This record gives sequence, C-alpha cells and structure tokens, in this order.
Amino acid sequence: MEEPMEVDNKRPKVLTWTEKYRPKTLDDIAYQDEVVTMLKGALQGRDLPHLLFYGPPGTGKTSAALAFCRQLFPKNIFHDRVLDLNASDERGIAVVRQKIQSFSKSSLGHSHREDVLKLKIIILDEVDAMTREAQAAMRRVIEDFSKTTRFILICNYVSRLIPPVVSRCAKFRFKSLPAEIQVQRLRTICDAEGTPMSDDELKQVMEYSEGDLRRAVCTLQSLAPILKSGDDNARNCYLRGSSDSLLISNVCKSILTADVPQIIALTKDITKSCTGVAFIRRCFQQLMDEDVINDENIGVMGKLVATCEKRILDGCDLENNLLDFLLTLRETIQ
Amino acid sequence: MDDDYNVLHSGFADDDGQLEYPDDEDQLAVVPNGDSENQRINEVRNALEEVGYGKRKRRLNEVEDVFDQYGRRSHPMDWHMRMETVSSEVLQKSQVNAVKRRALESLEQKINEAAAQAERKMNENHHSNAFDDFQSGEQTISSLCELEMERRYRRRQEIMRNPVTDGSPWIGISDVVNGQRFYIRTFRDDRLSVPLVESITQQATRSRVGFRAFQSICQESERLSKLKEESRVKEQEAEFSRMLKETETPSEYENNKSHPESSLWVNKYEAKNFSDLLSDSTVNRNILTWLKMWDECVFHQKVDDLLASLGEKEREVLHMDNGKIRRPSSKMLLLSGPAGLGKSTLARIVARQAGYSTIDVNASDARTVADLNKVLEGAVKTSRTLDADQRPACLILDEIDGTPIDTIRHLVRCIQATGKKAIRRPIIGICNNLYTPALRDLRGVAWCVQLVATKQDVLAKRLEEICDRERLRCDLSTLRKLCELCANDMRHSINTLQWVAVAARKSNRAIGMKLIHEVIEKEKGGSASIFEHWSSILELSKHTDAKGGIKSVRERIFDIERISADHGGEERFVSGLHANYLVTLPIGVIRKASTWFLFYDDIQKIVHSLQNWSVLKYVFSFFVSLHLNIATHARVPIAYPQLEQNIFQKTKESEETISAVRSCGQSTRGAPKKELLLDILPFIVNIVQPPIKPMNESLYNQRELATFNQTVSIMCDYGLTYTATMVKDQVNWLFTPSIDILTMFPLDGPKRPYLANATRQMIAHKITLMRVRLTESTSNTERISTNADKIKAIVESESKKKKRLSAGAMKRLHNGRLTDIVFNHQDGDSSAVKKKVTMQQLNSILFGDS
Amino acid sequence: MALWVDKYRPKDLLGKDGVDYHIEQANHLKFLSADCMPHLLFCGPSGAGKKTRIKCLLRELYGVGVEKTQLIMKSFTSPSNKKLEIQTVSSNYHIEMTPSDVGIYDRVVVQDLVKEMAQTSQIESTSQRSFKVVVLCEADSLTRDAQHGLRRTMEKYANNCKIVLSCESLSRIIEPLQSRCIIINVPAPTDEDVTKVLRKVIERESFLLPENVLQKIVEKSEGNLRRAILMTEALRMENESGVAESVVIPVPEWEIYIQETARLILQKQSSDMLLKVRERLYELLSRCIPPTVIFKKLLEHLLPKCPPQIAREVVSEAAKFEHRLVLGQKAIFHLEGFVAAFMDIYLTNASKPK
Repeated sequence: MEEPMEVDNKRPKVLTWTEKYRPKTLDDIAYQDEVVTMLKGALQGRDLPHLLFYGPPGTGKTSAALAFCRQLFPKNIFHDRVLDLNASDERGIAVVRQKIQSFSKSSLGHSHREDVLKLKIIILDEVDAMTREAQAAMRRVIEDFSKTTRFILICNYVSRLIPPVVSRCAKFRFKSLPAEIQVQRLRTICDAEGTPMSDDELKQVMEYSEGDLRRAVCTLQSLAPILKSGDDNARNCYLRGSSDSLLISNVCKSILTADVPQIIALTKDITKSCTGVAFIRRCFQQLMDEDVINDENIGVMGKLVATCEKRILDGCDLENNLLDFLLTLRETIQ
Repeated sequence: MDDDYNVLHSGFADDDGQLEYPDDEDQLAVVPNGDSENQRINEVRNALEEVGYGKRKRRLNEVEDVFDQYGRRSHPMDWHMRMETVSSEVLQKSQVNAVKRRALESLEQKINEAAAQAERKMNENHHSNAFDDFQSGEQTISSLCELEMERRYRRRQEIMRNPVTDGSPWIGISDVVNGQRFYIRTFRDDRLSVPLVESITQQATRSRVGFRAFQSICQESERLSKLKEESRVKEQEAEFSRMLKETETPSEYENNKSHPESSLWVNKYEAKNFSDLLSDSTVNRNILTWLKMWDECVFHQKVDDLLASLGEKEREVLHMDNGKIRRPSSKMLLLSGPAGLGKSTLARIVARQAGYSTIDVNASDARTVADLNKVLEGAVKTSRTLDADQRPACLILDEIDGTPIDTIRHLVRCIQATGKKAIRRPIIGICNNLYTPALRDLRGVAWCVQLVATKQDVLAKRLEEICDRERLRCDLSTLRKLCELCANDMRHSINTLQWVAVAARKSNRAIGMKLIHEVIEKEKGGSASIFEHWSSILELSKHTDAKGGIKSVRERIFDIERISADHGGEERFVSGLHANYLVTLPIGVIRKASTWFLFYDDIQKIVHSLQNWSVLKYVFSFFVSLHLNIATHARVPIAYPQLEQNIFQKTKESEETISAVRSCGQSTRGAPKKELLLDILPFIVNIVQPPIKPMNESLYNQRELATFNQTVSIMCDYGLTYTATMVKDQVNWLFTPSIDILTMFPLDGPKRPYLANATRQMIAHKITLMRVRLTESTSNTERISTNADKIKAIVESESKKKKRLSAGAMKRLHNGRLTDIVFNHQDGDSSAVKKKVTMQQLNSILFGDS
Repeated sequence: MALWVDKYRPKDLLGKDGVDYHIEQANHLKFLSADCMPHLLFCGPSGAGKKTRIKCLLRELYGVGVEKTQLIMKSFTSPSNKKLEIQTVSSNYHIEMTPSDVGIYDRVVVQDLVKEMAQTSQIESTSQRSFKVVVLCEADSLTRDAQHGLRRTMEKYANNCKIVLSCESLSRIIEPLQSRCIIINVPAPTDEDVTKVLRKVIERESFLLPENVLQKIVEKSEGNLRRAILMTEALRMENESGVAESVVIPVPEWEIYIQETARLILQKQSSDMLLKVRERLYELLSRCIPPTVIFKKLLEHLLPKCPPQIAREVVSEAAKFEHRLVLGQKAIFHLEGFVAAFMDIYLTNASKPK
C-alpha cells in the first residue's frame, strides 16, 4: 500500500476493494476532522506530538497514519523514516528495546529535499495487543527518543493501554462513521465499480456492518458479481442479515407462547443456520422495539445479554447461551 | 524418580553417620599423627560391621568406655589413693577385678577372632595395605588397648599407665597376655568435682555395670561369628552361581562386593545376575534372545539353532534381517515402563549375560547429535575383532525420552543405515513414557518392550529377603503395604525400607505401618503424612483437642491454613482431595464443595497463564471452605489418587494415536482433529471390519472380494494397518495406530464387529503390497511438480528476458546511468522468488548480457 | 475405492459433480474466484461441507494441480527458543494448516509461517493467478494474539496471498478479522438435502436401503452430512445381505457412552453415583473427546428429561459452567461441578411437593 499507484496499475484486478479505496491522502479520510486538521498542520511544519489514535475498527485510523506519513516523506526516504510495527510482528520487550531503539538511534539519513521534516515516525499498530511489559518498556523509549522520533500508537480500546503511555500522547478518538457518510462512500465506490445499487440496499449493507466501513466495503465487493449479473432473487438472498431478521421475528412471535421443548427446538434450528454473537443483540433490540422487553425487565435481560455475549466471545458455543437467554426471557415475561 | 533417590540417599547417609559412629567428633579431635591408629580402629569396626550392627557395636563402645581406661602420668598421690580404695572396698573390688579379668580374656579372644575374620574380609576387599600389616601384627587386647589409649589420651585422661591423681576413682587392670598394668579412671570428666567417698561408691556400681556389659558383649561376639559364617556361605553360593553364569568380569564382581555399610541397599541388593531379576521371566528371555541374535554380527557365531529354538509367537517379533551380515530386523530395543522397576538393571544384566560390556548414556550426559555420534562411533559401529578381555560394547541409552528430538532423528537414521555405516552392536533404549512425541519415529524402527509394574507379592518377597539379610523384624503384610505405598516401585520401596530400618533402630521399634508412613512423609519433607493432611481436611475427628472435643472453627482454620502452606501448590494434594471428597453427604453440600474446586482451578489458571504467583496465597481459602463444607465426624477412607495419573497416561497415548493417524493417512492429511475423532474414526472401526470369512482370497465370491478390497483400500488411505503384537503370550493382529482403543468404550451394549486374526493378517499383507505400489507410483509424479523445479524454470526464464529484480521494483534514473540505481522496497507486493544469484547473474539480470 | 465420504465429495463448485446444496452460494463463490478474490471466512457447523467448498474453490482457482498435495512438517522456534513443528499440507498453489495444533504457540505460526508464505508470492508464473492461498482450519480456536497477528498480514500482503479461514462459530473470530473477510456462511444442509445426497450415493453404489432406515439415518445425523454418509456405509459393510427394516443405526460409541452417563445421572442423585459418573467422564476425557463436546452432549441428553420448571435453572447453570470450563484448565472439575449442580437441582425439584 505504500506504493498504491504502482500497485494499482500493476495488478488492478487482484486488489481487494478495501485496499483499492483506502484513502490515499488526508483529504480522503472521511469525517475525522480534528485529526485531519491537526495532521495537516503538522504537514505545514507545525510541531508534531506523539499521537494515539483509537476507535472502533474500520474508521480509518491506520489509513490516516499511513497517509500522513506518505505525504510527509517522499518515497525514497520513506523507509528510513517510518517504522511500521503491528501485531503481525513479534513485539515482546526485546523488540521494543532493540528494534525501536536501533531505529530511532539511527541517523536521519540523507534526504534530497530540505523541506522534509527532520523526524522519524514509528507507527505502532494494534498497541492494545501488546503485553503490558512491552508497553511499560515503551514509556522510557518514547521519552528518550522524543527528540528525533514521533510515535503514532493505534488501538481499538484505549483502556487496554497503561496510563503512562496514554499520558505521553495526544489522544484522538476516531468516531464511528455515521450512516450518510458511509452511504456516500459506498455510493462513490459503487459508481466507480459500476455496480448499480439502491440506497436502501446500501443502508442494509451498512446496518449489517455496524458502522464498520471496511466491512461494508468488503460486503459490497462480495456482492459485486451478483449485482453485476443482476438477477434479483440472487441479489435479495445475498443481502445478508435477511435470514437473521427472519429468524428473529420468528423468535419474537413464538417466545410469548412457546413451551420449553419448543424453545429448545427453536434454538437448535437457529444454531443450525449459524449466526454470530450479534444474533442475541439484534434479538434483544427487536424485542425492545416490540416492547416485549419493557421497563421492568429490561434490567435483567440487558444484563443477561451482556453476560451471554461475554461468554460467547470467551469461546463458549452459541446454542447454550441462546437457550439461556430465551428461557430466561420466557420466564421473565410470563 | 531420580531426585527421590538422591533425597533418600543423602537423608540416609547422615542418619547413618550418627548411628554408626556415635563418637565422630572424637575422631575429628585427634591430631594428625593419630590417624593411622584411628584408621585401624575403624577398620576393625568396619570389619565387625560387615556382619554386625550399629546397636551391637555401640554396646561394644560402652564396654570400651568403661574398661579400656588407663593412665600414664605418675604422681605421689596415687599411692594414697590406692590405699584408700583398698581400705574401703577391698573385698568387693577383688571380686570385681576377678570378673573383669575373666571378662577381658573372653573379650580378647572374641575380638581376636573377629579381627581375624575381618582380616580375611579385608583381604578380599583389597583394602589399604596399611591395614594388611596391621593384620599381620598379632592382634591382642593390649594392642587394642594401646590404640584406644593413643586415641583417647589426647582428649580425656582416662587411660593411664599410673593411677589417677585428681581424686577421681580408678580401677587397675593387668593385661594377662603381656603383664602390663593399666589404671582406668572410671569417671567422666564432669564427675571430677564430686567428693571422694561418693566417687568410690560409684566406682563400685560402675564396675557392676561393666560386668553386665561384659556378658552382653560375649553373647554378641558369638552371634557375630555365627552371622559371619552364614554370610560367608551366602557369598560362596552367590559366587558359585556367578561362576556358572560367567557373566561378570572380576572388576564388576569386585565393585558389586565391596559395598561399605553406609551404601544404599538399592545398590547392595541390586540384582546381580539373570536369575535375580524380578521382571517377567518370558520378557527377560525374549530380550536375551534378541541380544543373542546379534552374535552372528558381533561374535561371528551362527544363531540359526537359536532361531530354530524360538516359538511361533517369538518368531513373529524376533527375526533376522537379510543383510550381508545378518542382524536382528529391529536393531534397537526400547524398554519402557514406570520408574524404578529396574529397567536399567535389566538392560545391564542381560547385556552382561550375553557377553557385552555396557556403555551407559543417561540424562546426565550431554546428548546433542554430536555427542551421540561420538558414542555411536566409539561403541556401536566399531566391528574390530574382540580379544579376550575386551568385550564388545552394548550401548544403553538411559532416560531416552528426555533426549532432544533431532538427536532421536539422528539415532533413527543411524539405526536404519545400511552397508558401511550400519551399526554392528545392539542398542538398548530405556524410557518411562513410550508415548512421548519425541520417540514417535524411534518406535517405528525399534522393538518396543513395555515392562509391566513388578508384581506386588514378588516385590514383597524380595523385600522380605532383604529384611532377613539385614536382620529386621517385619511381617510380609507390612511389606506388601509398603510396596503398595510406593506404587510397586522397586527402587523407591527398597530405599524406603532402608530408611524405615534406620528409623526403627533409632527408636527401637518394630517396623509397622505407622513407622513406614512417617518415613515416607519425612522423605516428602512434610512432618505428618499426606494422608494425615488429607483426612484432616476431610474429617472433623482429626481436629480433637486434649479432651477429645472438636476444636473451634477458628483453630481448625488455622490448622488447615498451616497444612495448605506446605501443600498449597501441590497438584498431587488437590487431586488427592478431589479423589476423596465425595463422601456420603446430601448432594447439595457436594455441589457447594465441587464449585470450590473450580475456584482452585481459576487460581491455578491465573498462576499459570499470567505467571502471577502472588494469588497462590489465596489457595488456602479453598482448603478451608472445602473443610467447612464437607468435614464430618465420619471416617473418610483415603485412597491415593491413582486414577488421575492413569488417565493422564492414557490421554497421552490417545493423542499420540491421533497424531499418528493424521500424519500417515493419505486422505486424513490435515483433517481437523475433532472431525477425525468424533465422526470418522468411530465409524471406520466398524466399516473396516465387515464380516469376512477367514479363508483364502481366491475362494471369495464376487461380492466378498469387493468388500475385501474396499476394506483394504480404505485402511490404506487412512494409513491404518494391522500388526502382530504379543498379548499375554499369544500373537494378535491389532490396529496400528490403535484406533480401536481410541474409539471403543467400555460399553456392555452392542456386540462389536471383530475380524479373525487370519483375516486381519491377510488384510495387513494386502495393505503392505498396496503401499509399496502407491509409493512407487506417486514418488516420481510428485517429484516432477515440486517447487524446486518450478524455481529453476523461472530462474531461466527470468534471466533470459531481463526482468526487473523481483525483490523490489527497481527503476533507473532518467539520465539512465547504470551506476546510481534506486531500489525502493515494496512491502506487500514483492513478487520475490527466493533463490541464490551470483553477482554475475545479477548483472545479467539487471543490465542484460552486455 | 475410498470411503464414500471421500468418494462422493464434490469436486467442483458447479456442474456435474458440483456441490449438492447451497447452489446459489456456489454460484457466488464462483463469481468471487472469477473476480479478484478477497479473503474468505467460511463458517458453519461441522459436517456442513466447509472443507469441501474450500477444496472446490481452490480447484476452481488453480485447476487439478491443486490436488497434488504433499505433507510437510514445518518447524519453527518460539520466542522462548522452543523448537516446535506443525504439519502443513501444501500444493504449489496453496498451503493448508491448523495453527491451533500447536496450542498457545499459534501466534508464532501466524507471525512466522503465514507471514513468510504471504511475503513470497506465487511462483507459479504460468498460472493465471498471481496470488496463493493460505487455508487456516479451526480458525475459531486461534488465540486472540494469533488473530491479532493476522490482521495486518491480511492487509499488507493482500496482493500476494489470500487467506481462507474456516471455523465453526463466527463468534470466536475477533471483529477486526471479520471485517477484513467476506463471510461465507455454510449452514447445515436441511434434511431434504441430506436425503437427496444419500439417495444419490446409494443409487450409485447400487445399495438398496429401506426408506424408513434412510429417514432414521437422516434424523440421527442432525444435518451432519459426513456422519450421515458414514452411517450408511457402516450399515452397508456390516450387513452383507441387505439391510433389514429394523436395523440399528450405528452411532459413535462415545455418544452412546455419554447418553448412558446421562441416564445414570437421572437415575440416582447421590455422591457415590457422582463418583461413578466421574469415572466415566475421565474415560471420555482420556479418549481426547473435547470437554466442551462432552458438556454439550450431556446437556442435550439431560435437558429433555428434566421437568420444564427447572429447565431454565439447569440451562443457566450449564452456561455458567461451560464458560468457566472454557476459561479453566482441569476439565474434570468443571464437568463434575456441573453434574453435581444438576443433581442438586433435579433432586430438590423432585422432593418439592407438587
């Protein structure tokens, strides 16, 4: 991606859309205004603090960092100046000590143009996946080399970082993108790829991807061939979430009346067409909309939903928790 | 096991020290030039101890203390002293002296003969010649006294040539042999201050004591001599048998013989020859046969008659390969079995029996590939003709399961090597767990023999023998218990026994269960037995105060906290609780208790995953609450958690099986474990065992033949086959990998399909044929399309059309000068081909062949 | 003459021996592979045919050459200098491995092996595909670290290598990964599908199976096609001379065993019974049956038997215990704990006056 243009004209077809439409410049980055302004400022040569980008996945954190670096440095010195470490690299204490230190110690290297900022930038992606020890080790490093080096830390959950590290950086929250912006993004892509798509379909795609633009684009790409082929039934069956919503409504109907064996059976065929952890959440949402879950039992159920989700994310299987959820629901509302 | 062994040893050693040499510090106090004498004294002692016991010997010491006490300094006062004594106690003293004289004489002769026997002993022990000349000098009481005097003179003025002066009472003794006269001070130094009269009366009593002591020692030494007689007979027998078996070189014989008393019984009573082995005799014989089969390669003797002598079933396993020099088809023997049933001993003895000298390589030696090579070169591959004294070497790789995997690989390669590099000596590997992944490929090539644990009664018998030899009072049932407690681990049980013996001697107790428990726990380090602790958590009755009432909760909690302090981390302790906590209580209580185990598990999890040991201190709350939940007055029969360990072992084996299936099958390649285990294998077991009649293939009708072939081919793709294995001396054809064990559960319900051995054999045969065919067909096809060739192709094509160096996109600068070239590396789309290029090639690639 | 499961495994996505159900999905896959292929994430219950679809897809991409696989043990060293090995199946076009085999070291596998795969690009210059495929099975048992490790690799080297993940439950895949893949949901085949496939098989094998037996198999298999076919073949092999109407459908023994265990639990609730149960649980564990599976099956057999008023309590207990089981270490504690809890609930309910 460091060389997007070349990549593009070399092999356009193997490039996934998420890469293809990844913002190349700061201007392309949608909706994260204050970050962009700040970075632009830095481009004009205002001074640059250590940065900490955090926010839900697919809101353009990494893109912003890369785009910024790309605009800051010409290609030829890019690799002397930018070190990109992410979770796919071994990032124990040892690495933090050696790799980062050696990088930041190394001389700036000759640059042809004088207007290039006399800085080096270390992008630490997915910092929240680093061990606490490594983070602790970083504190010192960040301070020691702050003359020559700037750090850009990127993570999803700022809470996973140790406070000293956070306090050393300027925090920027990447807001999850609101619907209309996403829609227009998707729209542009659709036009570029020539896949006709109605707004509500796009909306559907979006709500499925829960404000995660990357996923939305991914889905869009997966849909593309069908859309191109343009037969409608395929198209309908492939706008995901349809099967889920069916099941959900089914649940909401039956839950009031069903007895235990029925619920068990119901759970079985829900799990057969396997759906993710999102199912319970959606179901909960739906039930609230239908006011099956109302003020007196929302406390109980909400807590339960949270617990179930936690369990599932910890690796329990869906069926059990779903059953738990439904049975409890049945008891509370009857 | 080994560390137990050491622990026990050290523990034993110092114990022994206090026991046998009660006056060690005295010897230390002796000035250098007294050493030779001390040595002699000790020699004498040892000589006695070879047959005698600490207890008896101690009595001997007492006697010496009392009687061999002489003075040297002369002083005017002694006369007066003497008058004094005579005047007061002349009559009594005279008797006493008479008694003493008699006693001394008897003592003298006893000691002489003891010493004489000791001398014999020493001679065959090849002891220091210092001792020999000591022996040569005529050994009398006086010389002993001399020595004693020499020893003691320097520290306590007890032995004098002239009567004592400082008012402490004394006794005069005249040596009957060379009429010297000695004066014995009958007091310890601390008594020096006591007034005179009193001292004299004491003198009298003392002497009586001495008298009694004397009689005892007379009996003692008689017993000694008897004992020596027996033991000598024993030795002769042993020697005789050894002669017959011609197994041991003199050197070995020697160091087997000369165990000082302080040595471990494990070594002392180690099996010395083939007949002593406790392991299953058939197994022993087979192993021996296997070794003998090497003779053709090693000693150049024909072994055909041996082979002929083999029974059907042995022949299945033991047969020669058809090399130029024929060797057994399995070049290596892999002994496996639980610790301490004498695998190493077995190996060593059998090797010796077959006329090899053994080279031991165990975990203590470095075991990299290089080292292994050294050993192999040295021992195994050499095939020079052996002269009389030089026996051929047999390599014994002990604790082989600890060896790094690449070493094992290398070993396998060596074993499989043929022609020049082929090994010409037997190798014996010894391991505890046959199923360590490291040994997987070794198991293929080696002949695996799994030794079962020693039968308890056999072991108990052996222990009883030892007890007899050691003059210990102990009944068989106790010994059985002991074996059970040590999980029939021979080494462990013998060690324990020895220590128990020591303890028993310390406090003159008979060897009983109680004592044994104590000792075992002492060895474990805890003060009370682990069983004690278990039951003290599970029972209230263990927490009684003086009046027999149950202690208050508070106190109990403190007790348990203390217990948890020394067991907290121990996996074993908790699993023991887990094994025993299901007492008869309402299930609700049990439920509570069981959830506490989860708590413990959580703590363990935190400790292990996060390496956070600080939480361990909360473990005790688990023990406490467990106690508070389920402790009752009822007695809880505590059982040792055997089950869990067995399960652990079994799990390992099954894992091994699965990975074997996954690695060898064609169609199971990389098939997920779960799928195999839950779906495919259970059915395959049924599918590949259709009701086929065991008869000649040609007699099958169409349908049967189809089924038969189907079976064969299925087993083939899943890498299964049958192999002949001996199950309680009859050959069965069993699944390898043993998927049936993996998938069959102890159900009483359905009758399972089972093929007759004949059929299985037939199928196995077919499979081997098929495999051979497959390997031939596939090998060449696969080789064509390996990546290497592709790379070659590409290299050529690339070097022809001068492509850009694929490691990174390379662009020349506009002025086109070849010198300054900018590479900019592209992450992501490097279409790199990993290959070596010479500089010249590089040039040609970059700038064409100009 | 292989197992029927392998013999009748579809080779292509579409066409004569194409997949038998989820046809339009197959279409979809074909489209995807035709266009530039994104990363894929197959998820679905076991026996639904994820692996089959992946194989078909590969074949679609690279042709028959992809079936020339060879088994390579790749070795790597963990940060703590521990030498480890993982078994990979690879052709010239793709490589397939199950990182979860090496337990907690899967992170290293992902960081080293997969990355290395990704960095060196497709050397088969003649093939129309300029990327290769890395198939990771049992992706849901990857540790978090490993999954994080995949994130950037998937983006950075997207041009060289496409990653295909296959997992049973989507919920164990971290969000960032999900958002990088196109999720191909492979639900279990409906009973009609299973019936159809079975019919096809027996018809091709010219093996006549009574209709009701067929139906029995279908319902026993619970939408696990692999199992269904295996059952059929087992039947075929066991009784040479045709299948009777009233034949017992072979079920894997571990299931029977668990079923009996459940029966024991229901039969008597006391500590000594618990002891018996424990032994059986041990037995199962020693055969490497995954504890979660034992748990699931046990519950499955217990739940229908217990009266509806305690069902909820039982289930929520089960959920709790399962959670701790997944987090914990010694499975036996948790399983036993659950059994004890169940016994208690069951007993108190039984003793309660109606």
